[in-house]
Formats: sequence, structure tokens, C-alpha cells
Amino acid sequence: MKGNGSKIKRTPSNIIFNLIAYSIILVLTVFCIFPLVLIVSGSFTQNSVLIREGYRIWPSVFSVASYQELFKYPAGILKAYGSTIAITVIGTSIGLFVMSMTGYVLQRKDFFYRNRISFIIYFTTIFGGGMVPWYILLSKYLHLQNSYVARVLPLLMTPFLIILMRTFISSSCPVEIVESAKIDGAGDFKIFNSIVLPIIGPGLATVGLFLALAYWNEWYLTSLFITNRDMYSLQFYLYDMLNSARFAQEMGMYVGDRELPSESIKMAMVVVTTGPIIFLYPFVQKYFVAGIAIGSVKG
Amino acid sequence: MKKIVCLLLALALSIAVFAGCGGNDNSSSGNPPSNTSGGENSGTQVSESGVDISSKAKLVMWTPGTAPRDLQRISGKLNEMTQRDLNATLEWNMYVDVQKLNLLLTSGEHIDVIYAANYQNYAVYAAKDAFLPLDDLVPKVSPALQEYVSTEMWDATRVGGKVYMVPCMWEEWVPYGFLWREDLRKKYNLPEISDLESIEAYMQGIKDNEPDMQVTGEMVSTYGSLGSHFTTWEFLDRQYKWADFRVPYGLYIDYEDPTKVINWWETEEFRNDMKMFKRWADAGYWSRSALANTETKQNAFEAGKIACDLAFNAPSGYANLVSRVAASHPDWELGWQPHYRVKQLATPNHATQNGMAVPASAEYPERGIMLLEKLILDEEYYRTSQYGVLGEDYEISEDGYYVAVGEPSSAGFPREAGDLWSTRNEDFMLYPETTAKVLKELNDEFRTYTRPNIWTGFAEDTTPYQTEKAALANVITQYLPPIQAGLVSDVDAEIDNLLEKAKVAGLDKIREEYTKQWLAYVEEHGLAK
Amino acid sequence: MTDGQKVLKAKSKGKGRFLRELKQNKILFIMLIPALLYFFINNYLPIIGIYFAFTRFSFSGGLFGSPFVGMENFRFLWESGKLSMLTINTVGYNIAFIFTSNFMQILCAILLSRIGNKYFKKTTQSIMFLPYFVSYVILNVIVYNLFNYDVGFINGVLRSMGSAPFDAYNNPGIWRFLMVIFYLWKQIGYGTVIYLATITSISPELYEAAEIDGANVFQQIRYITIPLLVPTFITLLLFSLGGIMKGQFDLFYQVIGNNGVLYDVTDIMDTFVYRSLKQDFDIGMSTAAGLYQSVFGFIVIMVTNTLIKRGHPEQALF
Repeated sequence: MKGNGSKIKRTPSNIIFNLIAYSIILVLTVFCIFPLVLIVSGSFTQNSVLIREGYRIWPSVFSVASYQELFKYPAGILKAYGSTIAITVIGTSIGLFVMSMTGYVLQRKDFFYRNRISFIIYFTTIFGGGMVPWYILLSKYLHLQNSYVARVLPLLMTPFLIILMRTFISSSCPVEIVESAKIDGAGDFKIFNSIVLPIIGPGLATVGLFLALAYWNEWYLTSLFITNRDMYSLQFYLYDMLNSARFAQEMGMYVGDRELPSESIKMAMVVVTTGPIIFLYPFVQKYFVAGIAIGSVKG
Repeated sequence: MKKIVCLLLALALSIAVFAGCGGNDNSSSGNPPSNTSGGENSGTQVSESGVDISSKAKLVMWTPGTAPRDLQRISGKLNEMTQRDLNATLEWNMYVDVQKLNLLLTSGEHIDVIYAANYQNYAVYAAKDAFLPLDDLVPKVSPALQEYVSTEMWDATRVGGKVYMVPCMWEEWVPYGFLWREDLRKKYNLPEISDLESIEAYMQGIKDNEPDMQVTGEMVSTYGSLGSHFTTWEFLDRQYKWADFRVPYGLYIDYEDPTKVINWWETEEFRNDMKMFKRWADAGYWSRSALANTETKQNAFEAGKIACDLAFNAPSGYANLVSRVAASHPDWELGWQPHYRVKQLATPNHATQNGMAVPASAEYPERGIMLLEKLILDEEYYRTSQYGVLGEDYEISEDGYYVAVGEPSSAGFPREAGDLWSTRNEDFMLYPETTAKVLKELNDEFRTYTRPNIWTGFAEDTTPYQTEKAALANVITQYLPPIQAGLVSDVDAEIDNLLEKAKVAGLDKIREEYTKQWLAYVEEHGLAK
Repeated sequence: MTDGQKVLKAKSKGKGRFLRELKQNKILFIMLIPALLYFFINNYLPIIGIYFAFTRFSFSGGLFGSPFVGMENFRFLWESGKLSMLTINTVGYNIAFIFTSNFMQILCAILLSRIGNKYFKKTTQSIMFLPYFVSYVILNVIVYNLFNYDVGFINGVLRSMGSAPFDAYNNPGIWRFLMVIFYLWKQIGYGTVIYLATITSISPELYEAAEIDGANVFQQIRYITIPLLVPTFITLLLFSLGGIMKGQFDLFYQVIGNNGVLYDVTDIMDTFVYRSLKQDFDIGMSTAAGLYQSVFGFIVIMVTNTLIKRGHPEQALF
């Protein structure tokens, strides 16, 4: 009987594999992180130097002025953080529950209409009325302007994640379990709630992660529906700041009276909005990196 | 079966709802709420001009730009005032690009007052009934406002014979001009800036002596009717007495004789100008990657990255730059040569440059007009909406100048941060001291050779060639800026290519139709000499 | 057919079937209500807007009050002479994106799942995920600072090594590769997660059994891991294909922007339409363009799904 963490034998093929694996992953990691290093370094560089000399791996003239500038009026950023965190948590919880429920029904092979309903859901990814009719519906008829619902509702369910969930459930939840529960007299919802949900850990984690990320990164909904500054999403706060110069120019407005945000501040803003996720991510990671599948059917 | 019936019912219901949306809005606008009899409302529920304001209104106003940090605070102050005077709450929002403006108007959501301008498709929207006609509305609701705007200005905003916006009466000249570092010019003994040769000498001098600086930061701009163009084009405004440098479709309209319309892209002069830009590009006066540059020239100039700007916009912009630079780089000296001075022809802003319109979706158009009257003609409203709260956002110096409170970089509501350019009024305006001096000098100068603006008010009707225009837009965006930037190997060949592709997209049809409309406009407004 | 079979066959059609199904699986239907309601409101109601594509919009008329103009709004698509170039670019890039990104993501997932060192695994995976958070607006700033002719990072390095600087922005040839690389940069971490999760749910007993039989790492990957990843890949593929005529608008708009020199190589449907309609935003024309993209994607999907049904029937979406 093998226990956890069985030793990996040092066969030649294993050694070769490790060589290949470690080097490829290393190269890709450097590839990914290189621009990020430039961003962080830019945020700590004095602004005029940044404009004149461009970005370096290490700031040529170190300065924390941008961060000081950003946090002089922290109220805006803090409110954006607050509302974004709250919406992410709430939206993800609701969305995850409903999508798992839907995915469960759709993978039940004894449900005659599952293919048709899957198609109905999937069809929305191909055809759409366009942005304007949807905007009219939400703002004019559902009155979602300056409402948090406008930031939650449109992202709540995506066909992609529902189908993904369906795939996860069907591969990790064998029919025998469901059947034996039914024989015991359990209703479908109870089966879903008490039996299925607990064993689809990795699926929940994956879909939950994607959903949470969608909520965290959201700025488009805010730009359409929110004019109340206190309700800005975090990314929109950044986007607003980043684009004020470009907008002014595109609209041909003189930017004479106002200070435009500097290059360095823009970079600092990126660091501030992305930072916390970096710290959160390792905790969610364990669901994927664990060598042993959670809830696989044993014997 | 039941399921299908239910679905159909729901569908039918929603169609009915949608169908109702466009039509209804027109019927509900313009009707004042009926006079409530009975003594519940106190006597002050009728405005001076006799408009009934006894029911509470909810006004929504939109201006362009990114909202300053304290917009809500200032909007709140105005809200107090409108509740007091107009029995209406005020919500003030800002839209950040033309896409959003399109969305706001197309979706027909509740907006009572909105910014309108020729460079933001005023004429197109007016022609498509996006705005309410104001011919009868303004005199009825606000005789004071009707009086305040001159007849010429009202007429200048007419589209299809009707007035659709309240124009800005503040006389303003906003030429582009050549901006340079006077301290660097003196340092390297370069000739005084006057004609083209001196400018070239300056640029070459910088190139030779300041290897760490870029000479200019010219880039692609998408502003206005021209669509995509390289900013060097704006430099040419100094050379030609044309009706405007923004005349589109490669046309040239002569200022002195507006009936003279020339196909400019086909002429020798155009080729020569483009070759001049190529010479400059080859000399390295702007980056070879300039077409991809998104950094504003202003930022680059203030950071000391570039030494001049071929087309720096506006006297007020220059004045502000001077005062900012005085603080950040006291050893610098700046110079600005407005294009108007070079060609001795100045045209003030047209009436349709900045205005306020009432959308067709307005729920309280009369109250909206009253709000405009207050914003323009009432000092308290004016000062609050433009400058903020006295003592918190600004002070007034002994000489009557505007003084900002606190650091400009951390101001919650800097001067005119709400972009209410349409409601500016000379009587109430406050200038910062340096701005005042610079502006006064320049404006006085422009006044000596100012002449009427004949082109900017022309309302082009694009419906006959909408499709071709879209196709042409793509041709222009792809081929024109590289030519204007001189970043092509063979100027003549590229211009020929541009013309060929443009003709395929429908250039001739567009030009023909446009010229026809223009000549009719000239006839109608008696502009021919 | 026996009588019994005939009865069964008759029963499997029509109202009888539906009502029986409803009674039998009542709770399942109820469990579907939130999703169905959601999609009805958020997606199906606005579909009425497709009608915009066939009208000349007037503000006073609204949706149904504006005059009907048939296919007029579609004209600008083919009159520009660019439709074939755009189609090739859009589809080409999407296919390149789909296949390179999925290949790299599968590769990374497999490698990561097999790497022994926990800290290495966790760190590198987190890092690879980060680019997903960086919006294309910022990416553009970085790209410009890397590639620009005068003070770009790359040219700085080249100059210090004594070789001539490289004028990237005027050189259309390399941009096809660059766009794929940028897309890969942003998406690699994200997709790897999906495949990793799938690998995690593979029972380790399969690997143990294979090892006993003498299979080495490469063989295990080839015969166990990859086949079990195919269903996920097909799911992802089908989703991506539906949008094959739509593009990564953000990526192209931000990184290429107004640089016309590169358009022939990098212009896609979305950016083309955006620029055409920027000045005179016309909802009729933009909806028409969207409709074209949707129909195209629909046809591609129907064909692909049918093909997949023959090979892997469970993996077909419907």
C-alpha cells in the first residue's frame, strides 16, 4: 500500500523529464514576470526621469513620490477596494452556487432535455443583440444606474463556466453515488447539496477563481452604469486615472487647467490594484497543486 | 406547449415595451405638469416667467471629461440651490468619451441638459432629432437667456432651420501655435523664432546640441472631423488662409472666396508640404516610432523630454503652462507663436464650438432651460459651478484674480474642472493672475485682425454618404498619418496610393456631395464675396 | 417493430414526454430556473436589438420607429475592399491564439503537475498568473517602452552591444508573431489553471498501475494524461470557435492603436468597425457588423460540433 508522497524513482527518464520541465517553466516564468518588473520599477522611479529615459529593470532615480501622491487622498482607493471586495465575495458565492446547480442538472444523463438547454445557454455566446439594447434594458427598464446590482448581475453566470462545471461534475461524480442516494429516498436538490457539492472541490475552486477574477477585474460595467464615485470598482478607478489624458486629447479638450496623472503614478496605481491578489492567490492554489485528487472514488 | 405559450407571451410583452420606448419620449416632453389647484403649494411655485414649478423635478446634466474628485460635493452645492430656486434636484455627471455620449443619447435615458459641440457631432445629432428644438422653448421659459444670446449666434446654431443648442457667448480664440523653449534657444544662439527657416534652425540646433532630448513629440491625433491625422498637419495652419485646417476629405476651402473648393490632396503644394515633413522626419525631429506613441506632448514637454511642440493648442493652455513651469522649472523660459499671428488672420470660436442642448429624452426640458439660465446669468450659480466653494476651493485676490486653495495636484475641484465651457460668461469670469495677463495680451492682439468664422458652423449631413464615409475613415486612418509624419520612403508613391484607395472607398462621391452642401450653405448665409 | 416498441416510441415524443419528464424530474427543472431566467433577461431579451442592423436609426423613432433599410447597413463592410483581409486576419489570429495558447497551457499544466518541488511549483504558477491582471492599456505602455526606436529597452541593449537599432513599429512583418506572443503572455497562467484542475482530478491509481507496468514519465503522460485532457480541450475549443470572427479587441486596439503602417497585418474585424464608426457612431452599422460576426461564428460552430459528435460524442456541446 502506497502512502502519501511516494518517492519518485531516479530513473533516467525522470531525470530528463525534470530537466526539461524545470527549464521550460523557468523560462516561461521569466517571460511572464519581466514586464511586471518594469512596471514595479517604473512606479518607484521619479516621473520626469521615467518619461525621459523609459523603463528600466531598476529605477535610475528612486522615488516614492507616486505612492505618496496616491495615498494622499486614500478615501477613493479604500472605497473602491471595499466595494470591489464585497461584490467579489457576494457575486462569486451566488454565482458559484447557481452555476454548480445548473451544471449538475445538465450532466444528469437521465435528464432528457439537457442537450437542448445546454444549447440554449451556449447560444448566447454566439448571438447577441449588441451592447446598446442590453444597455437600454438594464439602465432604462431595470433602473440599474448607480446600483451595485449592475456590477453583479451581468457577470453572475457565464455559459463557459456552466459548461466547465458540467464537465467537472460529470467526471468526478459517478452515477452510482447518485443512484444509491436516490434509492435511499433523497430528493435531487438534497443530493446536489449534501453529496455532490462536497466532492467537487477542484471544480468549485477553479470556477470560483475565474468568477472572482472576473469580478475583481471588472471596470466596463462601472464605466457604463456607475457615476457615483464612491461606488467605483477598483479597476475602473485605475482606468479612469490612466485614460484621463487620452480622453482629453481625443475629445480635443485643452488640458491646461488640470494636472494630468504622471507615468509613474499610473504604474503605482497598477501595483496597488493588483498587489493584494498576489498575496491571496497562494491560498487558493493548493487545490490545484496537491498531488492527490480530492474526493476521488476509492475502492 | 404551455412553456412555449408563456415564452411567446413574455416575448410579446417585451416587444411592446421596447416599441413604446422611442415614441413616448417625445409626447411627454414639453408638457408642463398641470396646475395643481388647492392650497397645498405655497405661492412661490411659479417662476418669474410664469412657468409652473410646483412639482418636484429631477434634473440630470452631463458634461464631457473625467470627473474631478469633488464633483459630487460641488454638484451637491448646486443641488441645494436648484432645490431652493427651481424646486428641482440636480444630478451632474461627466462622460468620458464620444462613445459614451453616443450611448447616452441612443439609449434615450433621462437627461435634461447635455454638452453639445460641432466636434462632437452636434449637427448629426440635431439632424437626427436627438435634441429638442429650442426656438419656442427658450423665449417662453427664459426671456433673459433669449436676450443674452445674440441673434447672429442663435442663427449660427441652426440645423435645418431650427436652433438646437444654447451657444457660448464668451468670445474665444483658440489657435494652435509653435511652442518652444526660449531658454534653450538663447543658450545655443539660435535665431529668433519668426518664419519657417528660423523654426527649422531651432529644431536642428536642438538636435545637434541636446542629444538626450527629442526635438518634438508629434503623434497621431483622432480629434475632430479630420479623424485620424498626424499632428504635423496642424502646423500647416500658419501657412494657408484657408477656411479651416479641419476641412475633411482632402479639400481646401479658400477663406477669401468660399466658393472656391480645391481637391487639396492632388495639388503640388500638398506634396511639397509632405516632403517637408519627410525631410524633418529623416532629420530625426520626431521618433521613428511616433505613430505608436501615446504619450501626450504636454507631459513630455513638462518633463523636459521634448524641446518644442509644432502645434500647441490655445492661449489659455499656454498661460497655464507658463504658470506651472514657473513653479516646477524656474530656469525655463517659454515662447509661443500662435498660427494666427503668422498669417494675420484670426477666427474666433464658432457658436457651435461649445453649447448646451436639451435631449429628446429630457423629462423636464423647461426646468433644464431655467437651469442653464442660472448657470450662465446668475453669479452664485456661475461661481459655484465653475470654481467651487469660495474659501474651500478658491479665493479671490485683492485685484480680483482667481487664486487656488491648496496644491494644484491635490485640488478636488480645480478651476473649470467640470468642463462647463458652454456656460462661460465674461462678467463673472475669474482668471489666475498669469493667465489673465497672457490671455489679455493675446486676445487683444487677435481682436485686431479677427474676422468671422465661416466654416466651423457648417452642419454636414452625412446620410447620403454614410457608408462611404465609414469606408473612407479606414483608408485615411491607415494611409494618411504615415504620410503626414514623413515616415514613408516615397512620398509621391504613397500619396498616389492614398488617393487610389480613397477613390475606391468613395472619395469622389463624398467630395461632390459635401461641396454641394457647402455651396448651399455659403449661399444661405451670404458668405460669398 | 413490436407493439410495445411502437408504444415506447410514440411516448418519447411530444407533450406526453414533456409532462412525464416534468413530473419525474420536477426538482431538476426547478433547479434550472435561476439560470434560465438569468439568460432570458440578460441575453435573450436584448436579442431584439438585432433589428437595429436593418434600420436607419432616428432618435425620435427609437427601435421600431426608424425606417427599414434592408441590407444597407452591411454595405460598408464589403465596399471598403477589406472584408477578405479582415476575415483572414481575424480568423487567422484566433486560430493562432487558440492553438498556441492551449498547447502552451497544456504543456505547462502537465509539467507543473509533475514537478516535485512544492515551492517552485507554487511560486512559478503564481507568477505566470499575474499577467492576467495587467490590462492591455498597461501592456501597451510596456511594449512601447520596449520597442520604440529611440529610448526603447531593446534598442538600448542593441546599441550598447554595437549593433544597429531595430525599427519595430515600421516593420509589419514581425507583428503577427508579436501579437501571438503578447496574447500568450496574458493568457498562459489563466488557462493552465483549467488544465491543472483537470489533471488533479485524475485518479492517481491510474499512474500507479502504469508505473507498476513499467511505464516511464513520458509514456504516462502520453497514454494517460493527454487523453484525459482532450475533453477539456474540446470544450475550450468549442467555446473559442464561436467567437472566431470576433477578436481580442482590447489587445489590438491598445497595442496597435493608431499606427496605420501595421494595419494590413494586424487589423481585425472589431478594430476596423470601431474606427469606421468612431466619428459617426451609427448603431445600425455597428449592429450589422456584429451580426455578420455572429452568423459566421454560428456556422463554424455548427460544423465543428457535428464533426466532434462523430469522434467524441460526449464532448459535443449539444
